[in-house]
Amino acid sequence: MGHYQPLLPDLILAMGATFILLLGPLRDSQNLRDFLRWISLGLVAATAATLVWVNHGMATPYPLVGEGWLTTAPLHTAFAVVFLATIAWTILASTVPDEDAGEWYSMLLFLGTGMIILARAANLAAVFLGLEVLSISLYILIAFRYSKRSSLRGGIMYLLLAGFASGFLLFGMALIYAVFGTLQIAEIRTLALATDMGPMAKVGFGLLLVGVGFKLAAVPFHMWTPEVYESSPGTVTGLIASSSKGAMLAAFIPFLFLLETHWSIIWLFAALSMVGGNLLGLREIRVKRILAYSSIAHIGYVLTGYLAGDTLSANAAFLPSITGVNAVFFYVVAYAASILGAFAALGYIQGERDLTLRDLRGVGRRNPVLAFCLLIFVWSLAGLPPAVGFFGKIYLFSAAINAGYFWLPLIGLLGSAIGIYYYLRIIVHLFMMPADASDPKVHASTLQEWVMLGSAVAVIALGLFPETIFSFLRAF
Amino acid sequence: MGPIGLQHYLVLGAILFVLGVIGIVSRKNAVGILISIELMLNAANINLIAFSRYSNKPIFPTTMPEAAYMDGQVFAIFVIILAACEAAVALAIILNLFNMFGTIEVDDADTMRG
Repeated sequence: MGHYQPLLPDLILAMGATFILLLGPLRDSQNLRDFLRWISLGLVAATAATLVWVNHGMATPYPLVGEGWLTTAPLHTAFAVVFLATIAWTILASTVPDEDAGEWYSMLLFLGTGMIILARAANLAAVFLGLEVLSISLYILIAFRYSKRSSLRGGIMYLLLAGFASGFLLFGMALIYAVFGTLQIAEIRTLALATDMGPMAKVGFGLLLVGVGFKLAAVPFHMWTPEVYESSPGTVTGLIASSSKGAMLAAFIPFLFLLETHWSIIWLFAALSMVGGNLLGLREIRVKRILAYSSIAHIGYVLTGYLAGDTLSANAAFLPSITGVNAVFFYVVAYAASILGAFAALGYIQGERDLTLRDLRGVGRRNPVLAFCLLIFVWSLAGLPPAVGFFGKIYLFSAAINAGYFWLPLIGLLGSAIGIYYYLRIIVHLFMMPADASDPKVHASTLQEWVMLGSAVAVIALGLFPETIFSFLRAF
Repeated sequence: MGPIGLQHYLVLGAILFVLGVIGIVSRKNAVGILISIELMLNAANINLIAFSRYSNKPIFPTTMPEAAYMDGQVFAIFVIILAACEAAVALAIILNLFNMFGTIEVDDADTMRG
């Protein structure tokens, strides 16, 4: 194995996913489905363990393995472990018909493979490979209920727009390769910092950022978000919003040197997303779309922290020990914990056609456990204490202020204040509105209720002890 | 006109890329858009291969001298494979779309409403 050893986690997960895909058609029974679910969970756990094991003790920044494909830097490994945890959570929380279990769990594992490649990519080709493995699994997961019209529509929409974005990304990569003569991100970084960038390199990085903006759904490239979020299965929507975007953010940490030249583009992405996402959410009555707009705003908050970079500034006023990148890590964890649960809970509640606020009425009485969990998740998304989302925002904004940005955190604070309105609207409809004549239909198994409850407890516990996330990060 | 050099490939790549973008923006047919996406990806491929051929920087001069100059071409092979996977999934979805709606015009709001 030699220096290919660090590729072991990716191999385990990809081969396991293939294995499960082959097991799937054996028999349509609940036993097989449960068996596949536990095997998938085992594979994710084995991958995470291998990931930690092979990277243990490699502390030098951005060492390259497998002929320079992946990095073993601690931050990236930690990101990968978090994404595997989101996959494991989804395997437990998702509902799937018996006959499709093989495909479903297999695609979730392939999605995880894409995420851990993308999160640890040290090479432009690895970025593209990880991104496409991730995206192609997502196309299938979004269109999974292909007998439903909306599901197919969402799938094709995401596919065409993500393909469009990949085109920009790849063309940008080709231009960057042309200028610097290498695909290694670390070498590109050295060369880019040493010399003045020519126009071709600037265009290349610009195209790259357009592609990334599409994938992250930052305003003005956010148009696909509400439609796709609405039409995917609830648990998949949570993954699109949390870890698939998070993997993209992790992949671009080595590109932070771009802040020297392209910071204004990221600044604009952040500001427009925070304003646009929160304003667009105000008038919406379909719940999943409200959270879709809120996810646009959240990308704005994350990019604010991203602008603060990975160095500590000397004259930091607030929380001086937290760099922008660490704040981003904290936020990705906090946001994933909240949004996964929120979308999964909405997935369990059946609406007439699209789930509207009206459909939430009476859920508080019908299924108090689920409604209470949803309350906590939404509370955390709104960024109210003591939930973990509150500290996430504090760290992001203080990192940005420390780095010398003033307007951006201010816009972020105003945006969050506006956003509280639509989050509270969800809570009001859950608990305080009289139910309509027909009872809302809620389908959640006991296992799923326990998973939701565990997640809600985690959101509160991480909010009470936010240091836990940083100690987790330091453990790598 | 001198012999064919790097800039010819660059211009070809740029033209194909722009054609792809125009195709995506102007077309409504899902297969048409898919073809335009492939055009964009292959424009990038042409660039990658041309740069790989014309750049003179070996990537692993000490460990793998025979692999020098190859990384752009290897990247292009990855892109071709991934584009094929994407097309396979896309065509499966488009086929189902056609069965359900009787059309593959993607932003036909009336027919595509659930």
